[in-house]
Formats: sequence, structure tokens, C-alpha cells
Amino acid sequence: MDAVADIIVTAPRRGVLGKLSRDRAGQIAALVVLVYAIIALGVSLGWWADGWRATDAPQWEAPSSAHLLGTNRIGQDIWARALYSTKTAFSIGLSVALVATLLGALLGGIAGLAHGSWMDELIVWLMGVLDSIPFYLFVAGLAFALQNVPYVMQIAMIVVFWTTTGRLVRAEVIKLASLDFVAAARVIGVPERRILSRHILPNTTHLLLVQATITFVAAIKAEVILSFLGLGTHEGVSWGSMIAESTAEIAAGHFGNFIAASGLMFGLVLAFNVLADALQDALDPRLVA
Amino acid sequence: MSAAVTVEPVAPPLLRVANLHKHFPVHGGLLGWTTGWVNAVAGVTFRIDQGRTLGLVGESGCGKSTLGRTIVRLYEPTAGDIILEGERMTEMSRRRWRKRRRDVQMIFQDAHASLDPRFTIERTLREPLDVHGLGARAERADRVRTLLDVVALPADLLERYPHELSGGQRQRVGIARAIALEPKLIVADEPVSSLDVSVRAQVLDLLSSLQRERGIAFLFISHDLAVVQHVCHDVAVMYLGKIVEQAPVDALYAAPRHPYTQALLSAVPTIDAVSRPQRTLLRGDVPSPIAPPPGCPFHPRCPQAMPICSRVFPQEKDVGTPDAPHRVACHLYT
Amino acid sequence: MDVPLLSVRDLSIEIAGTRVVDGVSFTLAAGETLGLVGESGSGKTLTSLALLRLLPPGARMTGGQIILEGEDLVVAREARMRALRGGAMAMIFQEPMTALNPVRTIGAQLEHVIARHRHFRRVQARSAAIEALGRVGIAAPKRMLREYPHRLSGGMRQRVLIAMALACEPRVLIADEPTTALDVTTQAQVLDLIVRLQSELRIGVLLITHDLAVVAETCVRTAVMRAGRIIEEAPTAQLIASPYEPYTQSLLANTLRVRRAAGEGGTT
Repeated sequence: MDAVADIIVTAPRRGVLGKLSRDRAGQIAALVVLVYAIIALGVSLGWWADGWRATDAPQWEAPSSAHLLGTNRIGQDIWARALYSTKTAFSIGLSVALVATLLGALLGGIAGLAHGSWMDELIVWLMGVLDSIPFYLFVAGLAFALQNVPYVMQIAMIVVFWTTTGRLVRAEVIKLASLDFVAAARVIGVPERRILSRHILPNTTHLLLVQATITFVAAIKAEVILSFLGLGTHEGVSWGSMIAESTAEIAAGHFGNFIAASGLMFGLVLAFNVLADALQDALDPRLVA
Repeated sequence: MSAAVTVEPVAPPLLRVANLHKHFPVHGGLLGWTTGWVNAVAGVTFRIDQGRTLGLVGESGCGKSTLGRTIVRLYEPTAGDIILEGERMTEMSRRRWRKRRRDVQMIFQDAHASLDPRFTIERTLREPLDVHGLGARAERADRVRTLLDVVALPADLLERYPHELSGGQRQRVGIARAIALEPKLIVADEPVSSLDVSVRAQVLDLLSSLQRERGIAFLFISHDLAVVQHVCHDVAVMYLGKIVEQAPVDALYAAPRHPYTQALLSAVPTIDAVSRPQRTLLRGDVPSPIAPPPGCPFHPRCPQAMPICSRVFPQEKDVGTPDAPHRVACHLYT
Repeated sequence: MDVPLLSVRDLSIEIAGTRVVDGVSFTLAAGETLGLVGESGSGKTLTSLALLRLLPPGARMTGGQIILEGEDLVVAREARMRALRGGAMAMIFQEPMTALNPVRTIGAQLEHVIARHRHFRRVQARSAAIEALGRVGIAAPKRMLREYPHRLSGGMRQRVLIAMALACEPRVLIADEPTTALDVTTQAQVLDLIVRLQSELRIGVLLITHDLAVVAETCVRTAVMRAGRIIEEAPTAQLIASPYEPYTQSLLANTLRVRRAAGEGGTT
């Protein structure tokens, strides 16, 4: 009859979904992100916003039923372009987030497990070097050097963004590797790579998920700034390029472009940030509800 | 004509440890240079025979846990030999060691920490079988079930996670995992210390029955003198990385020779006022292994210290009988 | 004249709607050591925390009285409790490793506690600190004042904590598993210290532990707790010689003892 212990044991079972179900802000944020994701999906499947390129309307038209937010300087539908940019944002965000997180997990995991050896020192040194390069200069330089390589911008982002995840994973792995269940696996004879992939990294998934969402947002923001600076290299339109276009228009008193792009971007970034916080709270094994 | 005397070949002991050392570097200073050494295990010699249990007792910092982990090769020895059935561990090829390590397994103190929280019990028990390819895939599920039977756990625990089990059940899972590879020696590092008193007896009985039925030898590491007396055939007492006394369990508890062993035994709280011994309260605290005193490491606290004790480490001497050796490292006997 | 120092009546504590301490009652007299024995989950630690009104979040006291020298602590104001904690009622915990502030010297922590409770000035507090350290058998008290906790061993830290607890002249000392995390030789020293000081200073000691052998050596009376209730209470010698409850009997039976001479002790 272990009353107190029983209670403490059942509490974690209410777990992640339990905590999320009580987090109103997190739920709303998740919903918003879902809406954006559906928009992006629809665009890539051609369901809507396919007229984003057309320049057949008169320039600077006011919002009307044909063009929900009016048109820009060369007669393109702002609303369609803004929607299309959602797809651009998602494709860049997802690809960068996925690859950077995986790369960070892999290298961070190897470094952590090899803690104290030359392999660890090498990876830490590499992370330090990459962190000390100013990001935008790096992207500009890479874009110039690899002019004909597709996805140069994404590659640059991945190369720079993986280090944050790498450091976090390394710290967590160093801690996990000192726990007895890792020692037990070693005593049985489990090879090191299997210990990493089966025992250690799965215990870092809470970290990885949160990092992935943060990286997603960072990629979107970075793209906007790069496009604004004229360094963006991608096909189609993005919020960044729309904002870049709008600098000329604002002087002439036309705000449609700017408001559409920054408004939509603001919405997604805010929602993602709130979602990342909610996930962090829900997944943190130490925070009992 | 006298009958020829046949000398029976003496079987090599299951485990023989000869002058084993394990040192850890201490990093300090500006650039993390090695500023000193912790001599966690400082020259330890003993043997364990088939099917016997050697108890290893001592207080914090004595090196017993490090010794246990070095024997299962979680740490590499700094010096000295670990000889398993006549084979030197450090001389084994990697392939040979991969096979041999199945013979030496470990039970950990905190079963909760030694089970992966994300593995079901089934997966935890299957892992050793998978890693070594024991039995056909299909058979392994059966073998796992058998393991649970042996440790008297119900089969419906297979799909559970460690946090859903009680402390005693988790420890049994740890034991089941340790016997999965059919080892000849198990190093048990404080196997019952974190369990409730009422559960301890059951787990200790389980270990005893495993020894009876499978002939498994145990290195039983513990700070609890009562438990050690209950389950061990022989006992070695450690202090600051060295073994100061080794003897069969009855001899050690009835007539301890080393002043440290005497103080240790007298310090154990006793339930019956009648059998309460005259307490030898030691001065000071258990020292840290980073800067051990010269000569005999116990001399600063020893109630019977002599001048020589601070200069020379005493040689081990056998004060027992040929079939019941009783080794002490103390100047009182050299 | 037999007014008990501390009297607990019908104490009940709930966590998330479940009663984890149910109608616990006991008394403690000055100069007496009462042992509270139980396994994990029996509610013994929660009971002791309730005495100081230091229950963890989520735990609520739902009934009972705690009367210290005639004053019911359940209805006392928080300011009064703060004055009592560390003053008239002191507590030492199981983990000496974590009970001290790692970034302040022993002297700073001791003097702070003394100055607060006994309203001393710096100089007075310092000499009171040195005296307290000396009383717990610390060899060089002045030097100890300048030490940091991480440089001390577990036994030393526990001694410092006892000094801190006793420096403010408590009437009641609650010791929750004070020696469980210590080595057996250090445990003997610390228990000996607690018993000696307790009889010198005539304080009431509530000693909480899972180890029957420890209470056998230190406590005049012992209460056995199980699943939130006290199921048996008796003079210790009597409890051990002839336990009434089956649970107590099985606790005793499961307590392995060291056999010092052939044919003695072991398990019953």
C-alpha cells in the first residue's frame, strides 16, 4: 500500500497530450499553424493562388472582389502572391528545419558519446568556427561561390543552423551517457552506434522537436531578410521579396504589398513561437502538470 | 612399493584479479591539465571460484563500485590483470572478448536508472539476445518469457514500461537481463540497497536460488554488513582502494583482525541491546581518495596505529588455515 | 507536570484527493527521543513536514492539531511559523549534500541563522557559531567558518547541519533519515552525537527512519507507520521484543542483523 508513490507514478502518464489539452494558447497556435500549412499545401497542389504571376491587371488597384488586397506595381494580385509565399515559406522552413535538426542530432550525438576524445573536440571546434561566421555574409559568399547550385540559400541556412541543435544534443547526450541504462547496454555488449541510435537519441526527441520548430521560424525569418537584402535565391515569390518590392511602393503611398506580406508573416511566426513554447512545456519530463 | 600419488589438476578459478589498479585523472588548472590522480583501485588481488559469492564491503570512496565496473570492463584497468578462467582479459582479441563478455554480467543498484525508460520490458530483455544472435528470431520471444518466469514475474509485465513497475519488480527485470546471456559471474553492485526492507529478502532469495540452480558466481558489492553476511561465502573489506582483509564470512564476522574491520562491525546499529558490542568510534571521516595518506591508508584514524604505519604499506599476511585463508594487511600481523 | 512538549492529534494530509496521512497522533516529551518507523510511502516524511507547515505544493493538511508547548501550530500565522522554524523547531534532512547553500561559507550560513533567530549582532553570532560547531565535535571551528560546503564530506556536512539546528536552542529537533545517506562508521558518530546532545540539552527529538536497528539504539519509544497510519506505538525495547502487529513483526523479521558470535541474530 504505497499511496504516495502510486500518485507520483500515475501523474506522468497523463503526460504530453494531457498537458497540451490544458494549454489554450498552444491549441490556438497549433490551429493557426495548421491553417497556414493547409494553405501552403493547397498552393503546391494548384488549388489556389495560381494567378500569382499574372500581370494583366492595372497597377495599384484598390482592394476589390477580383483582387482581395489590390494589385502591385506591375499589376499582380497581392493576395495571390501572399498566399503563394506561404508555400515558399513552408518549403524553405521545412527543408531547413528537417535537415539542420537531423544533422545537429547526428553530429551532436557523436560528439556527446565520444566526449573527451579527439572526435568530440573536432566537432566542437567545427561548431565554434561555423558560429563565428556572420550569417548574412556567409550566405552572400556561398550564393556567389555556388551560383549555379540550386537551393544555395537553404544549404547556407542548414550549415549555420545545425550548430544550435548540435550543442544542445551534445550536452544532453553527455548527461545521458553517464546514466546506468547506457552502462547496462554496454555490459551486455551493445555496440556504440546502436547505443546511440536506440538508447540515447530517442531520449532526446523532446529536444529535437522543439529545436525543429525554432529552426523553422528562424529559416523563414532569415529568408525574409535575405530577400529584402537582395540575396535571396529562390524561384517564385516570398514574403521577403514582397516586402522588398514594397519599399519603392510605400513612397508612392501604396501599402497593400507591405501589409499583406508582413501581416501573414507575423501571424505564422507568432503562432509557431507560441507552439514551440507549448511543446517545450508539454515535453519537458521534469515539469509535472 | 608405495602407491603413486595422483595430483589432481587444480581447476583455474573462475575469476582471478591480480594487483589491479584503476586510476582516474583529475583535471584542473587553466587548461584542464591533469593535476593529479584518483587511485580508485590501488592494487587489489583476489579470486572467485565457480558458484561462490564474494562480498565486497567498504564505505564511500573505497573503490568497490569502481572495482566492480572494471571487472565487467566498463572501465579499462590502468594496471594489473583480470583473468577469466585462465584467460587474461586484456589479451583477448575483440572477437574473443565479444563472446567472453557474455560470461560476466552486472546488476545495478538503481534498477530504475538501469532500465531504458523508453523500452518496454520485453524489449529490454530481448536486447541481449538480439545483440548476440542467440536463438532464432522466433525463439527469442519464448526465451524472454522464460526469463520472466525464472525471476517470478508475470508475463503481462512484458508490455509495460519501467516507471509502471515497483522497485522490487524493476530489480527483478535487471536480474533477468543479467542472466539472459547465461553468465558464469555476475557483479551485483548494491543490488538491494535501494529496495524496501520487506522486498530485500525476496530478491536475495532469488539470487541465492540462481546460484544453486545455475552455478553462477557473484561478486556482491555492498555497504550493508548484515546483507553481506547473509548471502556471501567469502568477504573482502576495502579501504581507499585497497583490500585490507579477506576471509570466509564466518571467520571475518566472528574474529575480525584488521582494526578497520573491527570498527566497521562495531559501528553497525544492532537491534538487540544484548548483543550490542562495545562501540569503537573512529575519529574523523572517511577520507577522499584523491590524496590518500602515506603508508597504511587507515593509519590517521586507526586506534592501534604504530609509527611504522605512517611510512610503509603493510604486506598482506595469511593468519588463517590452509583451507580457510584469512588475509590481513596490517602491521599488527607482519 | 507531564505536559508533553509536542502533541500531534489526528493529523490528516491529502494529496490530489487521496488521504496519505490518516489520523496520526503522538506526543513527544522534553528530553525524549521518539522514533517514527516506516517504509517508503508510509507518510512519515509528510508528517514531519506538516509539523513545520512545510508541505509540498499539492499536499494539504485536512485535519488535526499540532500543539507545541500549548500553542496550536495549525492556526498560527505564517510570521509565527517562520520564527519557529529553525528556532524552537529545527529539522535536519536526509541529504546533507543538498541542504547547504553551495555559494556561501559555512560561517555565513550559520551566523545568518543564529542572528535571525536569537537576535544577535555579528560578533555575538560569530562566537555562538563557533561554540555550536565545537559542540558537535568539529575539531577546528574557526577554520570551519571559512569553508565551503563542497569541500566537506557527508558526515561533516551533517554535523554542520546539526550545529545549525541546535545553535538556535530548539525545543524540538526533527531528524528525517539523518544517517541514511552516510557511511556506517559516520552514522555511528552522528547518532551518538544526536543522543548525547539531546540528553545534554533536554530537547525532544523525533527521529524518522526505515531502519529498526537505528531506533533500537537511539529511541526510547517508537511508533510504526504504515500507509498513512500509526499502527503500533510502544517503548522500543518492548516493540522489538514482542511486537503486536503482524506488519511490525514482518518488519522485524525482514531486518537482517549482523551475527557477531555463532548462533546468534540472523533473521527470525
